[in-house]
Amino acid sequence: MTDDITVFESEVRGFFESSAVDRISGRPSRRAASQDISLWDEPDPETERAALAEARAFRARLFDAGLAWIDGPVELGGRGLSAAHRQAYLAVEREFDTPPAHFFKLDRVISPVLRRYAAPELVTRVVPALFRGDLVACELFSEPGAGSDLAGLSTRAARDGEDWVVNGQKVWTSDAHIADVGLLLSRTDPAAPRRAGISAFLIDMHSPGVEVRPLRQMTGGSSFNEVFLDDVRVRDGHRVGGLGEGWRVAMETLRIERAAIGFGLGRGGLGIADGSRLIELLRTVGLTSDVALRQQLAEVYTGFQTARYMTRIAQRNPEGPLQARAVPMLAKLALSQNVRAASRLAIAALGDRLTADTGAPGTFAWNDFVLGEPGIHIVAGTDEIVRNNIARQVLGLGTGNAESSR
Amino acid sequence: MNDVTFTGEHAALSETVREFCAKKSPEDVVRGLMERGEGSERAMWEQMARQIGMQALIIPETYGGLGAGLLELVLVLEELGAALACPSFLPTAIAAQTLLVAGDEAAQAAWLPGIADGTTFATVALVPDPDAPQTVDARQTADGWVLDGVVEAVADGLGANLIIVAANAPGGPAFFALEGRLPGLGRAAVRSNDLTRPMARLELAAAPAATLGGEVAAQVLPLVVDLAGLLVSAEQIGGARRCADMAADYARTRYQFGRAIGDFQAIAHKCVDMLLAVESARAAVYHAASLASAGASAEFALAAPLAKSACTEASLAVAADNIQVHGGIGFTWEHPAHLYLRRALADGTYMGDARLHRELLVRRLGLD
Repeated sequence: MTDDITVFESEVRGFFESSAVDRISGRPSRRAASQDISLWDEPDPETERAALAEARAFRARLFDAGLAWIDGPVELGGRGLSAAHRQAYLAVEREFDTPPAHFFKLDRVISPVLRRYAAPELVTRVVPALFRGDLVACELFSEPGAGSDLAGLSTRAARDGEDWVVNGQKVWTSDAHIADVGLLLSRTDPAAPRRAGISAFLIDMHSPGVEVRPLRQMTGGSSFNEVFLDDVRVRDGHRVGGLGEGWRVAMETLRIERAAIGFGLGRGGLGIADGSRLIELLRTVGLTSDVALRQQLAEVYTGFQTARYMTRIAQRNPEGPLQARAVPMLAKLALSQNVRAASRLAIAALGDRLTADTGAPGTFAWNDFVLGEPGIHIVAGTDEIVRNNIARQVLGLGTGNAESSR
Repeated sequence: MNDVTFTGEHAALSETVREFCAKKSPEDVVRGLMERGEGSERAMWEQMARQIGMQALIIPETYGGLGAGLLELVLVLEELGAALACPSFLPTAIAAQTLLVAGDEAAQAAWLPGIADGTTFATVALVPDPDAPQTVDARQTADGWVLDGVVEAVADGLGANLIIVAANAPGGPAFFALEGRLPGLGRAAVRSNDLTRPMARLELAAAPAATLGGEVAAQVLPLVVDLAGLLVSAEQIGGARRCADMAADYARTRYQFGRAIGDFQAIAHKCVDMLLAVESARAAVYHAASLASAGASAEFALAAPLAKSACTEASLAVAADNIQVHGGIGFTWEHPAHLYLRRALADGTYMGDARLHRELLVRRLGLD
């Protein structure tokens, strides 16, 4: 480790200490203390509002201290340091019980796309604000009639002078209820072939005509929304990419996002991937010597760890020997498999303690995991669409339904 | 988490071994050895040592080796596994590793130079389960140690001129070295489902043997099993990679219903799942190998059984699916697909099966 990074680490530690962020050592983190095992963030609106306010205040301090976008360019408010510095920051951050950062998870997804495709004026105004937490973003992609076949979307944007007027409906939109801006896919040329007729815009989610309704999932909670767009006006300067370039913008956004998803479970995965929560589960139900469950636990742990090694090795070695281009997509499939295997282990270990609540802590709560599991296979592209994409892009197998096909 | 870093030298090493296998050990050579029930040809063995220095890789320079690390060795094993080439290499590499871990300098000086220069074929016979006794007993006589017992399924046991045996000694299991041709050592070829690596039964009746590292070696048995399991894993992922490639190639070029069969999602998705199995198992092997090279033992104790069970499952699944992607032609004797399934079956139990390694893993995760 270089001196440079050591100095940087003590700067980070100093920031956390001066910001009165608690250390994790010696006591459980907020999430561990709550026994929360859910895969989706499904807070009640009031709790979420309070958490967002706290997270925003902390994010702003972090940004102003030059620690929210460590590897970003200085002219956009980044720190201009290396990816290694960011890794060092993340390692230090894990020692502290920081406010949740998942509200801002699209900062690193949408910013590269905006910087590549949007007008400089829009980039200067939006990108730093995304990293500072001043703006929360959402993606307005899927529609009731366009899920896996995203190119079939029918939301329309019609030109009206310097503005566009948008009408349509979006669905499965995470964070739309808290978002300030949305990356919107809309049809601008109904006469053009499906993909060529789509353009992307960054819309203000507080505009008149934007209505967000929470969508209740099978878990009973809510982390997605339906978004109704009724004569919503957006300036042409908020177009992201050229006319008809929306499909490319969407594919690039999804590529970055899926890679980020495959890299780990995020907050919900705490303690699952490293086996600790599953070991705790076997202890809770008194089945640590059950031969079948021990075997299953080893398989689950192995699945999560091999996916982690695969991602890490491919990131560090883009020239091989692993197929680095395939790995982010493979990691998303691995995550699906591993979460399913973990869910099966919980089902087998808990038996009827999962069916009916005995009141014993750490048992019935696993329903949050078990009933959240199906969604993991669907979010950010179904397992089947991801397989189609790998087949076409990596193996050269010509399945008719890949996103990259004509 | 440690970082695995591959250099251009690693890529060159893989390429060299791949070319060597393509030139010296194409399928007809593999089948020729198989039909004669032989392990490796001495001529090829010597070329491997002289031209590439494969056997010398992990052997220290003081004993005529190249002093490379485990990561280099697993890359070599991966390529040999992909070509089913030179079945004596894996048992010999396991024996070299055992000699290094047992730490008996006299034995190392006696045996390692011969392995490095390609004059010695070697193998290791042990029971990998720490809860089970070894099947051979060691006792001390006036003339030194002698061994009694039977070991089944010894890879290349007939061809090896150095055999390392784990035996129950008064202080616990310990390692002993036997020369291939000695009184009291009976060796019989046995049938194996893996036609490309001959197996033997060893019958030891007061067979004279030299102790390796004495009592100290009792404590290294788990480490030997971890390292040996990792080397088997490396060979497994080579075969698995080859099967996944074979299936995808066939899916691109076999036409039915007027289209390549890879156009059908049932086939395409199977090929993608094979790729996922292979790439994640390879990652487990590279991760464990780099930990072993770095000497980080607590993490390696998790990474090694993890790799062995992951590679066993992956290689069995991929070898089986490869046959299905091929359909009828894949079920024929002439097609190589079955040779890979056979190797996957045998490697799956070599140095401990997946069940054992999963159990070792959960114990080391803290579940006693």
